[in-house]
Amino acid sequence: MKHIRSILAGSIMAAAVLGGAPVHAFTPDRTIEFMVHSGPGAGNDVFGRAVQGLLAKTKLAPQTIQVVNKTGGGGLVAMAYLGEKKAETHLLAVFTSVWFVNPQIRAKAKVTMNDLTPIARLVLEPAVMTVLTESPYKTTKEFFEAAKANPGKLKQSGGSLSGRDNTLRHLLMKASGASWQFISMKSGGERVAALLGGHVDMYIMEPAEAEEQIRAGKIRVLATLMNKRIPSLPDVATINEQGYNVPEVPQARGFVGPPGMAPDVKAYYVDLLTKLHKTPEWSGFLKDNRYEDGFLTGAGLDTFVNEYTQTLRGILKDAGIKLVR
Amino acid sequence: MRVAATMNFWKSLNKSELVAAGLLIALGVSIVQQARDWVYVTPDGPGPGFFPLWIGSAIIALATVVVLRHLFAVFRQQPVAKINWKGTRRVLLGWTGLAVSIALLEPAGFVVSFLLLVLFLVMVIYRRSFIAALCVGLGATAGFWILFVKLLQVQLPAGPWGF
Amino acid sequence: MEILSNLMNGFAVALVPINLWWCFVGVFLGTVVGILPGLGPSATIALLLPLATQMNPTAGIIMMSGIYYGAKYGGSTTSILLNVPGESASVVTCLDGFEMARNGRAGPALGIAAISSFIAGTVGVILLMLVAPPVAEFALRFGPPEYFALMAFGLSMVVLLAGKSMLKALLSMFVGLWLATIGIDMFTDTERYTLDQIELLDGVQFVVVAIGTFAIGEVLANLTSDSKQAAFVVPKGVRNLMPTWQDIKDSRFAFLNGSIVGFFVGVLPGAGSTIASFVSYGIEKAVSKHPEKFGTGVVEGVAAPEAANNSETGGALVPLMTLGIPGSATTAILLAAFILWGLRPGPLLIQDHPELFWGLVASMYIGNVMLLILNLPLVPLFAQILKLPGYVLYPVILGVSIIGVYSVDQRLLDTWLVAFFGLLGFLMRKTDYPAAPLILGLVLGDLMENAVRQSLMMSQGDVSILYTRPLALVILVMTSAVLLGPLFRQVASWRTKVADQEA
Repeated sequence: MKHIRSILAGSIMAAAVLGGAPVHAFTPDRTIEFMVHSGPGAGNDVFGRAVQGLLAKTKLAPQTIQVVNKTGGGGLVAMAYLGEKKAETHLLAVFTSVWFVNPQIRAKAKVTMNDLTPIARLVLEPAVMTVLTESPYKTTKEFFEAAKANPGKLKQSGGSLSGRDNTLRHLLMKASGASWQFISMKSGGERVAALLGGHVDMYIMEPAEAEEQIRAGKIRVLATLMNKRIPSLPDVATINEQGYNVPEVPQARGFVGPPGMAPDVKAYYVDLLTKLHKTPEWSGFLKDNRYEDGFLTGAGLDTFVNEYTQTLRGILKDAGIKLVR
Repeated sequence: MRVAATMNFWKSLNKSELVAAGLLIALGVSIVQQARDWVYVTPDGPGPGFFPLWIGSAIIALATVVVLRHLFAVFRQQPVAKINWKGTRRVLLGWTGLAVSIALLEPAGFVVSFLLLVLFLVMVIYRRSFIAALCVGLGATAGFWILFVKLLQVQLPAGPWGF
Repeated sequence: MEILSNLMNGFAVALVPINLWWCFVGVFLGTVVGILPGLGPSATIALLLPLATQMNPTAGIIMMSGIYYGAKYGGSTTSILLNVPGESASVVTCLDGFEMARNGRAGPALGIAAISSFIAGTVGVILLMLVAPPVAEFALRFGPPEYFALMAFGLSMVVLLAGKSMLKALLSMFVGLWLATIGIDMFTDTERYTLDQIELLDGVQFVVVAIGTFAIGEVLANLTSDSKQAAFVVPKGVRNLMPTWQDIKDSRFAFLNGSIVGFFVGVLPGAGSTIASFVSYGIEKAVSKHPEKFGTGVVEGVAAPEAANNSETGGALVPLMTLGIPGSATTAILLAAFILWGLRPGPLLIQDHPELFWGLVASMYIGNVMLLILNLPLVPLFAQILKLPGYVLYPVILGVSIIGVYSVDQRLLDTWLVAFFGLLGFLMRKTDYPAAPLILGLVLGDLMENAVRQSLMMSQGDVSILYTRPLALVILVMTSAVLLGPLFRQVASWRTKVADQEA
């Protein structure tokens, strides 16, 4: 079935390239909504608006696109809303890792990623492990040793317990045998300020942000928490190169549609995002943000959804977080 | 004699004050009751139950003081302010109108539910003519709709007829 | 000297007609969304983000910041006229602003709010220009223990907000603190008091409680009687609709106090303008010669929070510009805009793009002047709204309230909650429980709980961390001074009484 869908998508694309639109092809005829699960200014809101802006800039947008904020419960409200809009044709949502995590840990969740129609994965956000320049820890090893010598004394700032920072912490602790505190803070600003002010010892940052702080001489990067080195930080060894076995858990962002989206509608949006992905503007956006190109559609995306769910499940279990399904 | 004194005492009580404090005590008790299900303290300091427990206890304690102070004041025959509840029936009627209008938001949309609310308030609560009510209702609803929906693109609940 | 030449270059940038135009667009839009409750600057800026990213960065940032500080100007309008706090920081403005309107002084209240906003907005820019880097470094010394101390200081303002009964003010504050615990506990993922509603996982929105208890509570209280006259007295003549020279003289200290408190609180990530406005109001009342008049419509009670709320913008731009750290939702969107323009926000931003920073600074001077010119003539116009008879005015307030809370998150539950809190507000009014401490508790509650728990995680459960760090200690001493102040005053008055009797 999935294959048929992708073949169908392929043939529609081919038809579009040849210039003759197929008879039943779907084209949006009113405002398209991009739903995001957080308030203005948060990561996925900004991502949704960036895609909206780039679609407008590249003139690919067929209709006006509106970003709608449906906040609440770390994505659960947005997921429930999308779940109710069966086969709606003008509504997409931005998904991030919490869309995989929260349905597994909250009994209230009515909808999981498997109920929805994934359209495309667009970016993977890498992460790096950083300390202050004045910090006594020059290497990852020194940090881990210090943490082992004083269990619970070292501190890392981060977001919620089910967020990526804490997930990575658990993986790092497991690989190194050390342990340290995780201090949850509400906003990203507070977390960085806590590192820069010396209130915590370590923080997991995104490379674009880290580079500026490095340039100003404020922080030091100990390791790249990805399988490959980040092109803009070529001298920073990955955590695996440094001898610790830590699986890659990038923040994945992309688009998902409501349940039961008709194949031609899905194909239309897949095609739209594929076109966007090919533009130089998109490459510039990835480069500026130091994102890894995570473009994935069709069967590959479906596999990713399943595998990513399982990976996160294993990590949550290890971290001692109670799973509900 | 004693019965009369008790009657007098009962009469000079400000019952609303006591009911309000009583409700606060009940709220405090239920806050504490639920908070006891959560971890009170962890090796690293307060758990999720810590603050609610203290907040709930503080509410119980303070509200109890309110009750005792009031009883004491009445007992010593100090003058006690009474609350004038005149007109509260109108308030409750108006509030019910508001609640009904909110219940109608989803099935009927903002425009219709708000129009009905204005008609209700102007005709039933303020006893103005139907014409006056209609003028205010249509004017306000149209004004809001143009300003918020058309100009500012705020998404308000829409009924089956699209507005 | 270097600053002067930089500033001149900045004005050269800001005075380019196209930049001037975008500055005007920004402050105009800002005023509009500020006036309308619910629609905040962050939502508006986010809405314009795709448009702005296609402009050049300087023009874009000038426009977006214009919305940010312009919204602060407009925020006071509905607070004063309708008792509807348009944004969190305007709750405090309601306390005396709406009372002034009730006394027939809506015009002067609106006028003083505009003047205060102008002065503080300008002071905020001056401070941003002169002391941004050292202040940013200082702000970094605020860790969780210092935040705890600051929140305790903020909560101590309840003493100054209390009306007739301290007990009832405290009760109201504790209920606010409890409301703040609703939702998912960040540290342990425990759901607290969510009544099995997904919508409550993020807690109760502040706007809902504020609009409910203030605006809807007020409307309900006015339904008790049906007076045939207009609900308010609006004096005739433009002169009576503007603040008098005496009003401005009375507000001199408030301008200064608000400007400084607002700026420094604004610099701290996550603290925000609500705390600033409460604290500056508290300070104003504490130093006033007639503290008992606060809450009955004194002009300083409007000037101080409005000043704090406006100079907060200058403060909030400090960590963004000098460190690349967003302190609030609005500055987070500005940060996103920088990234979308391909600029690298961080400690070197000002050095790399001086034209951007200085152009922004210069545009903020210009924008504040524009706002004053834009807002003052509107004052007499807006004051006319109060001429509407009750049966027109009150339904309109209800409509504005429903739209206001719904437009924040598009959630029906919020409209139910606002009706509930409206009834609560009415009952609190009847039984003499003040609503402001409820809001204070709600706003500061989770910040304080988080700060305490973060601190104790840092010290592995050692409580002394809360009061041994010097900065935290200083703030805690100030807090105790505020808390013990009324006690001392009572003791002092009792002693003079005793002395009088003995003499």
